[in-house]
Amino acid sequence: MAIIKADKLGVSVAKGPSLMTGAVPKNDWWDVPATFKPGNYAYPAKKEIIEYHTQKTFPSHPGLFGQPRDWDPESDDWNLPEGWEKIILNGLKERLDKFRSLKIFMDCCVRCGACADKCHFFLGTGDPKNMPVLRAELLRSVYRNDFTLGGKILGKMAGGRPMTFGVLKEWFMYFYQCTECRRCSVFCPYGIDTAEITMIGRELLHLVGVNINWIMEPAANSNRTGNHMGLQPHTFKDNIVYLCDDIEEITGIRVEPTFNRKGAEVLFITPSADVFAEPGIYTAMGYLLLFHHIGLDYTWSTYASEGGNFGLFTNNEMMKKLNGKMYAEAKRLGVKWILGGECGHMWRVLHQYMDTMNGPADFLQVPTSPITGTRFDNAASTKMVHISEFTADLIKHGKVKLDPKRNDHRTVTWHDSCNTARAMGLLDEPRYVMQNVCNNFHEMPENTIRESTFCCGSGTGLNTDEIMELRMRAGLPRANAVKYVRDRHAVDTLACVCAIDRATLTSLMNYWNPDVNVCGLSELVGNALVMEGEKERETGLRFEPLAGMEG
Amino acid sequence: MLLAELLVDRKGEILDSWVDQVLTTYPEDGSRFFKKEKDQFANPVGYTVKSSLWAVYALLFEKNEPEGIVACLHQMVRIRAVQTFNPSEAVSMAYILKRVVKDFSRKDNVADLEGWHAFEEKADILAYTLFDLYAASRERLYQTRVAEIKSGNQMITDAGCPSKLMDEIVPKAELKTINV
Repeated sequence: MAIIKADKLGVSVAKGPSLMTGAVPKNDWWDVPATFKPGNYAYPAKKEIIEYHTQKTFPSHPGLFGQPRDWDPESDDWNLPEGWEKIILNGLKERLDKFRSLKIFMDCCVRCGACADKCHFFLGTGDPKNMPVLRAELLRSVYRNDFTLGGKILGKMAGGRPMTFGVLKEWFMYFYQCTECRRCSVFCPYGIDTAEITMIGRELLHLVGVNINWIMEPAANSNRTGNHMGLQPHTFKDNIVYLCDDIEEITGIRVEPTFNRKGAEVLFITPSADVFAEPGIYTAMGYLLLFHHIGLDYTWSTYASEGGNFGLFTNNEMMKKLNGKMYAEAKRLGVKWILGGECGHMWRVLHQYMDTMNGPADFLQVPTSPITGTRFDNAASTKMVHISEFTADLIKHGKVKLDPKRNDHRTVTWHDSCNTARAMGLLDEPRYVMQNVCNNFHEMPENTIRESTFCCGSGTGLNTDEIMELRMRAGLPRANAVKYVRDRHAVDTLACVCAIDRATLTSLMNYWNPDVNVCGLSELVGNALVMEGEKERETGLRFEPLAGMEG
Repeated sequence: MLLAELLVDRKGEILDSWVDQVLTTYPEDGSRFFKKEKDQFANPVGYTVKSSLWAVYALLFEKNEPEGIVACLHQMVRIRAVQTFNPSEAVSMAYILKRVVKDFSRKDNVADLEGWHAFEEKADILAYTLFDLYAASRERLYQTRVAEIKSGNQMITDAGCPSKLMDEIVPKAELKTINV
């Protein structure tokens, strides 16, 4: 066997694309084509899923998701519709007219570079097209070419370029290497919301049928059964009843939740993953215990059985429809207000978009805690309160009995989930709850938490296993900060309030910090709650032994 | 001058060059940032590469404790194992070090055959360790993927409606044991 010299080997690997994940750009970004290889793209939406959306979700909006078809990102022929360039440009024009923010974002960037090194995808890959400014430039260059005078006259010299198949490929690659976490926006002196540029980029891609299955199928499930898991009402209910069985085994208390009960004071809506998937189910057990503990007059809904809004990852029409479902159910049941569980994008849609889509929800009342009397004026328009706000208020008024020692078997750190932290400012409430339910808590470094929190790396529908490497490098900045507190304080639990985080951080920790578990905040609350009439607790909600209670 | 002396006397310069060349394996704009930013949380790649290489250099050529290098290298290799490198480039640090040290020894006219043997041996230990860690990291990646698939999250895309699926494959009474 011939022995290859190290320097030659170095040259060959630097020039060629990786066998696994595609080319590393080594030239000017403009000239580096996007190359799709197994592992660097999420699978396209199945034809029948797009057919479903066309026929069932939006029969009144033909073409919203392009022509249903089979296509392969690795191929040079994506079976795009005739005149697809025109479809994109018309779509862009329509959106520039419709969304004033888009027009401003296209025009006002001075390319100062403040955002460039703030993106977790850039920090994990070093790929310049993952700098938010450059990712936006992928769209902005087309905007310049066709919608500005300078671009129309000077073309490339003015930073414009025509919409070509190569540009479309770049869009598909890099608008799906953005989790819309908005960390870059925090640092932008003009307040450009780069996530909204990704959102528009994805909307335009949808128009020509370029999309991914991990978003489109959950969105179809949400439209069909009310939740992204596709759980039908009886299964949704059965799963919660099983959780009640576990609660009874652990605490000796029988919790009896109600479903679709008209006239309840509060409708509770949470991500369906809380009902079905680990570790969310332990969080759901925490909710069930808390509501029983305070005697809340509430109901679950098997129709509004999902908080997560996969519309946020597709287009504004889908976002509006899925958000509207929660309010339609609140109206049907005649509740006074809505309590929301530990979800991410549900809250972003609610706080940033709902009022101009479905709101204000005037048929509901401004949420008032029946236990403490606190009126949540911050939710005066949406009529929906976050479980952490609600729980913090209960604790503040001394309405819950807690024994934080029951979480002594854990040393916890806090991940500020992007959507709740940056999109709704939920920063101190969960920390207040945390301080009251556990004794061993350590913050991660300052530039990785609160408004500057790093994304899990798999949000916006990117939590699919075929792009696991991409997810791992995107999640590196988050995992790196967790490693720091693990090494320094022996942290073994990463807590958060987002269902996607709970799923994706589990994999992220599995790779980067295998001895760190992931949990929801309400699981810790459930562990600490001292229930009236309960038996002595020997285990936590995962049936794990409590510190000092082993054996 | 002996090679061992060169490795200690010119440690800073050798390491600067080594780190620089390893970080040059990234795209130009990324590489520039990885070299410049000092904060370990704002720049996990650059910081990890730099701190790992400095630590491993000290263990190999100053303290003579090659057994400690695994802990120093693990995080850096984990990072390289999920980035867009071919395997050979992901773990090319030992070969890059050899090149750097050769350049320095040429400049300083170091002719020390025995010293070279000792150096080569340590550089080889580094190469083997990097290879082992790379393989372990890839293995861990695949395990992570399998664990996620087994967790049931994939059911929504690959198996249709979970409710229907569970009705078909599992009697209702047994659901509790498998679904949570």
